[in-house]
Amino acid sequence: MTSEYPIELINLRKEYGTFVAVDDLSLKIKKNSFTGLLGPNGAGKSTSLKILTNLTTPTSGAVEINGINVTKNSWEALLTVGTVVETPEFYLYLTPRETFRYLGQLLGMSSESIKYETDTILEKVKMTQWADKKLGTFSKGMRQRIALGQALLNNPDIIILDEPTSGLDPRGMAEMREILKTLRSGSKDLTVLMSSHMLHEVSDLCDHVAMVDHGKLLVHDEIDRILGDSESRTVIVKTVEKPDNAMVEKISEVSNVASARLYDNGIEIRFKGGKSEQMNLFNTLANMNITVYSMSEDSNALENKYLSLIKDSR
Amino acid sequence: MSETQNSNNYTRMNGGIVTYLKQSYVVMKNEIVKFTRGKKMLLFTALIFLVLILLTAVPYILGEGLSDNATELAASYSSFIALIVLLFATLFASTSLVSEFEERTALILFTRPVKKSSILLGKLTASMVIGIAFLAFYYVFTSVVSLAVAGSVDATLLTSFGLAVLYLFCMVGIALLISSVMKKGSTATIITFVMSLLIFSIVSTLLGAYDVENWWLPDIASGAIYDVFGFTFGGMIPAVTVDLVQTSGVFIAWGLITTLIAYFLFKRRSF
Repeated sequence: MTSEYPIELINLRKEYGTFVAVDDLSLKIKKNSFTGLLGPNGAGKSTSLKILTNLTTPTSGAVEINGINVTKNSWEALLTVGTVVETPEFYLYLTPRETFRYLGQLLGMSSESIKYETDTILEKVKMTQWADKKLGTFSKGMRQRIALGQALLNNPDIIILDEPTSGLDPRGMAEMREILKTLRSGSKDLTVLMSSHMLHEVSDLCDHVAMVDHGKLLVHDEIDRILGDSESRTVIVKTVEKPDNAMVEKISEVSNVASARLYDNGIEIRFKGGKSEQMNLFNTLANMNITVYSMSEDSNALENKYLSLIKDSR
Repeated sequence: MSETQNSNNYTRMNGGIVTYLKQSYVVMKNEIVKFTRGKKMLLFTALIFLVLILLTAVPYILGEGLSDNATELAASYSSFIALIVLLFATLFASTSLVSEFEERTALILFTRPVKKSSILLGKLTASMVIGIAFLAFYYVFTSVVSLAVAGSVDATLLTSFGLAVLYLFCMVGIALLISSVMKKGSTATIITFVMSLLIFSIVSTLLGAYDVENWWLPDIASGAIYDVFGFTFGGMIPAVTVDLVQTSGVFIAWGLITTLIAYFLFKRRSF
């Protein structure tokens, strides 16, 4: 059974003694979206995901996956779900291939399916050459890749990731993000809910974002719409011609441009409006014989929005 | 609930009893692999060999040799079974549930569509299978020695083996119960050992001293594994009549009740 919103948190509340980790949180995750769950430490992200994956139970409210209550019927609810919660550990006496066989057998997969999926996934997470080595000898980054691999084993329709790059070195983070990007681009029916406190990661991977603080939902929408709500956007423009003050001055005079300055071998342009205004800016620069080879959104844009929302909620 | 076909073209399982038992079987297999690849297995095998070598060799070293009475011989070998079962439960079963939390493998296993009862049943079965294998080896060795030295095997050895298996179930249940509430495997191991060796003994001794019935305690009932031979060692130790039904009932009741409590605690336990 699938619905338009395969993941739903309904008036979710979780208390640990007097501490309220999740406070009346309601959230619907759209089918085939890649949603980032953002929030500071202690905001309730991990607790919500733990309830979603049946690692703990809510004090009140409910979580549903494909309309099935996870707490009441976890067996059926988790049938089409792959998860990586926190930094899971593995049975260190097993190899990745044996681990996948164990989990595949638990999922009722045939030997042929397990073999096919294992080979495909190990290639996807770039661990083929380590397929028959004991997990006990793996680095944290390698184990995290295996963790993501096992989440894909049953060809899930839903993937729940709790800070999948947490604790990895920069290279490990980059590799993990690359794998997540291929998932996003390569799959037909796949809904991903990923918690993170790395804004650039969410900005890079997700098309939707839900921000939480103190266990409450602050905002949930498409990233573009959230950023579009801001009065101005900032882009970094790289040009074939070496940018100079004269170029900056010319750009400053373009309508809607609030400010422009030299920045890191490019020009940082702040302008009013959303995506269509950004497209107009691109055309205007072309008409001014400024050859733009790259126009990227300032990675601080989401951060600014996030910080302002967090600030408002306190 | 019916089976569903996913886009990968494999049939997702249904939630019936067959799936439940299959999952328990898969968990059991993994537990056995865990045991066989771990250091504890090596340690325990060495311990069993040491016990058997000592029991066989020491009488010859002392110049006496083993008894040519099959019953006496079987009784002397079986007198250590209760302790061996206790050590097995302490080493293996006491960590089987808590290790999933301590080693964070629960994050992989519990987020799968696997019932906790399947996991518990798989772990219980694995402990029983390995424990029975060790006991079978011990009793077969005893039988071979008996045949070689006394020329026959006392048939009561089979009854003793049956009681040892039931005592194993009892002790594994107790170990699982302790494992279901502890946070660390090492603590679970120590508590299982202390509980089985010391606490039960203190309680049974105190009850006995105050003329209160103590037959229902596992340590008292475990004496039947040896007492079943009715051997008196030259009249020095009075023979005890074993009530097989009562003793079996004690082991089964302890095993069932502790396993059920372990299940409810394990099911409610959050990560």
